[in-house]
Amino acid sequence: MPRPDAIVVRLEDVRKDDIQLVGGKCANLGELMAKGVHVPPGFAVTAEAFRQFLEETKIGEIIHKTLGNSNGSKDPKQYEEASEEIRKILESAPMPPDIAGKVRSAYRELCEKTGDKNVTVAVRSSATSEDLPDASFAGQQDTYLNVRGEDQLVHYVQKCWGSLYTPRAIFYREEKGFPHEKVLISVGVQKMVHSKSSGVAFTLDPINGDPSKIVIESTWGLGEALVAGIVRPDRFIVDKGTMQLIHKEIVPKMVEHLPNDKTGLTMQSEVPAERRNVSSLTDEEVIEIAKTAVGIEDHYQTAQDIEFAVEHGSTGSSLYVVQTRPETFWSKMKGPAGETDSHIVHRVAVVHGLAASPGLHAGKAKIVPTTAEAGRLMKNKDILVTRMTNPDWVPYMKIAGAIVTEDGGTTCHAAIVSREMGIPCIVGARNATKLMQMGQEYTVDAKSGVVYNGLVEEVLKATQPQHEIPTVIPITATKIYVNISLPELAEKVERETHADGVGLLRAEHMMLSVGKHPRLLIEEGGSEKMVDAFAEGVRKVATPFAPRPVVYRCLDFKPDEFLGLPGGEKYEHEAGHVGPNPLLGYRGCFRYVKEPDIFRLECQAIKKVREEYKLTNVHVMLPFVRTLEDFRNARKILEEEGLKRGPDFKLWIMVEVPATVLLIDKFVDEGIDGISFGTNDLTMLILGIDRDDASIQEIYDERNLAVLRAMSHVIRVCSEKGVTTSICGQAPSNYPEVVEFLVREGAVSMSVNPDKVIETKLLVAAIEQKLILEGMRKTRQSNGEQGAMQPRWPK
Amino acid sequence: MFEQIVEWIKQNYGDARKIIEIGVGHRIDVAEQISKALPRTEVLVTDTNESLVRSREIGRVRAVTDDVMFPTLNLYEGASLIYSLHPPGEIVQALEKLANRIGADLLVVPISDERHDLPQERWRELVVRGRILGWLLNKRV
Repeated sequence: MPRPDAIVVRLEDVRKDDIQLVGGKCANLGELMAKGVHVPPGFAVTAEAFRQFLEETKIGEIIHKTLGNSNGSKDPKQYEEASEEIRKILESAPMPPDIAGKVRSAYRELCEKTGDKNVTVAVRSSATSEDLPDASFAGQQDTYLNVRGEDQLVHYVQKCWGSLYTPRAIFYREEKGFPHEKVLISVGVQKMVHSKSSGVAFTLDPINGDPSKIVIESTWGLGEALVAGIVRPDRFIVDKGTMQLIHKEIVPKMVEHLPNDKTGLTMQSEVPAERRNVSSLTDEEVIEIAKTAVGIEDHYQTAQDIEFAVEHGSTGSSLYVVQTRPETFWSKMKGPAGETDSHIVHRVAVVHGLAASPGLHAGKAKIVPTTAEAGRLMKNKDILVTRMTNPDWVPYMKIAGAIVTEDGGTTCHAAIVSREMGIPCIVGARNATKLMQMGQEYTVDAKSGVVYNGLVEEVLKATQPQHEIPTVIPITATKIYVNISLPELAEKVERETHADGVGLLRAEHMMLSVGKHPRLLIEEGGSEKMVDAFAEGVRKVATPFAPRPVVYRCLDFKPDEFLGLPGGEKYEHEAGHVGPNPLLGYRGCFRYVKEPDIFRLECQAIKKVREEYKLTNVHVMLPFVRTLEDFRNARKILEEEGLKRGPDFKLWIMVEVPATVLLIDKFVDEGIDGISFGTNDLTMLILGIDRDDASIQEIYDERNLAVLRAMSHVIRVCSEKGVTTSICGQAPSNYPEVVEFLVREGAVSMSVNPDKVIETKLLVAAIEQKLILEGMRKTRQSNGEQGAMQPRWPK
Repeated sequence: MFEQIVEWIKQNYGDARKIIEIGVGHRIDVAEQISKALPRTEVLVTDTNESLVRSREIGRVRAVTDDVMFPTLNLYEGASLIYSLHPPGEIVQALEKLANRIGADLLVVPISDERHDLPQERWRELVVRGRILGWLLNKRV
């Protein structure tokens, strides 16, 4: 046990109780060494050394005085100024000779031990209140790598002392209530590992807190680049129960960090081509790291986040643990969805997957590859185990107590439907149909994504479905369609609203999901990716609604909205597409004609859905049509791509520009099957209001007589020529009087947001009945039945 | 394109402990800029798409898989602001519900086509230099 006034202590001599002397980081390392974990040799410059330094140089008083001025303040600038001042003082003061002497001598001892007379070391701060379970703050203090020689070491030890006073560290201590004067800092000095590769191991899944996984991320060279987020790491997931490598993701690694022998610092260099796509860890190394990680977690009895390095020597590779600390994010939350029941921890986990719908259920498993078998075998509250579900499975899912599927992620069919129904569900549970036995009892813990053998006493109360649908939804003559932005929710929307179709399927969110500017995709040869992604999005919507119509509106991002996508800057800004007002700029139908290759991809996606998936209920709507010529040209491209108007393929245009209103008869003659008002833009353009300009928004009103007259004109012309009319702007959702206006004018349909469908149906039904009544009255009046509606009792 | 949003958050949430972006999608740059501008604030991003979240580099911003329609509440607790850039209209109600449950401010920047979907009586425009940048809920003036 080290003496409390020790200036320097060898790591192998410290234990976890020495936190006050050597800080959390070094105490942990000493503890690990004692446990037999391979840790690079080194020593700690103690907190006592720092205290003596402050005392002997008398700068402790200056520091606390400076800090006192900024205490309690919330102004970041004050923290920054105080920090800068303190660090300058700390780093420039000469280290007292007795302290420096001991540091130098410990370094020489390390040189001897490692057989390298000028051994390179890593110098890390180890604050005495850092790394405690509730106080971790990754990167809070500094690390200096590749330090060589006694002089450099002394310099960097002082720099580490200074790192106790970064603005962030000062703020953090105030936030957590640690008094500054009580927080001293120790400095860990360890032999640098000449890392072939390095990384971080988490003893739970950092993205969802799943404690049954070990997630390992690694890259070539030093771990610095990884921790700072400069490179994307290879990723490995190991199942903690079986110690099997269950997921491996090798990514191209373009740069690595290496020691720079000339400067003694680290440098970033390009990874040679032959190593870029090679895994930075072998499978054996991954398993070794996982085992070490579990050992460390067991030792501390709490989830850990462990930095490691792998060194290649003449006798093969050796694994070093460079640092370990408690994982504070999820451990504070105790698991992904609330507390884990302690009594099931020791049960035997059979399969793991992704917790898609939280809950706990115990029951008999029914392994059912097909719906036919489900029909034969599934009984109430059984656990439904299959590869993946689709809408045909819904009747069996309804009676299931829990659902386990082998495939799928959080947005797959089983996940969405089970969440809707409030049934516990685990998806992506590999080999569940093989590992689980027919008729045997299991406990499905869909909070942490684990299926255990046998029964667990406590079962969560089943949650009730959140939405109540009125028992009678009226059928209206005016069709009520729904607007959809997110294809993943289409099935749910269909089930909840019973809409008559989709009057506006937006393409913009599909483009965001693809995640790249379409021009960049084309240049990278990824056209097919866009076609497939769009086709899949449209399929997800058209399937639940079939045979009811789905009107796909072609992509109408404004040029500035494309900027959010990679490639946006180059293909919008630099290409000169972003004008002073993007709403009036390079958008809509005009764009399709200017850049037909992008538009053709959308056409191909629609064709694929209609022909390959046989979903002929999908139709196309062209947005922001300004001129007849643009319309003609766009229609020509559609036809060239095999989308020709016919009995089962309809072409609509949006009426948003006053020119389309004034020339609607010409558009009808050109050949359109339907129109839909985009009241947002129509109002903007009729009233001359910039929708982005806050100062004139008070004039913005879709009910303005000019807007209503425009719509009335279009509906009348279209009705005469048998062209269908609809609206997909927000006006009907916001104003019941607009709904009445449209019904009276003879609009064939209207399309509203999902939450407004039922409300609008009820409203339209009432208006239609009113119109029928009015019609009857008029008929009777015109037939001379003046008294028909008078009371029938005798006068 | 979201520089002004970052600047506004920097000006208004200097003392925030936690800020969360919901539905981060393919881009994490806005969250990273916020984290840089507010180094003392924990910035967290979420998305339902697990593979997207997994593809995030380990950096100063933590990415977590969560579905705002069925949120893991304790993830969001303590947040001063949650925001979502170009969210599909279907999730806005869930965002509202979540913000109200945890008592956070909510900032939504819809695509231009979905702007008018937000009920005007509850939402306030976020105006910077005369331009509407997004819509706010709960934000105390």
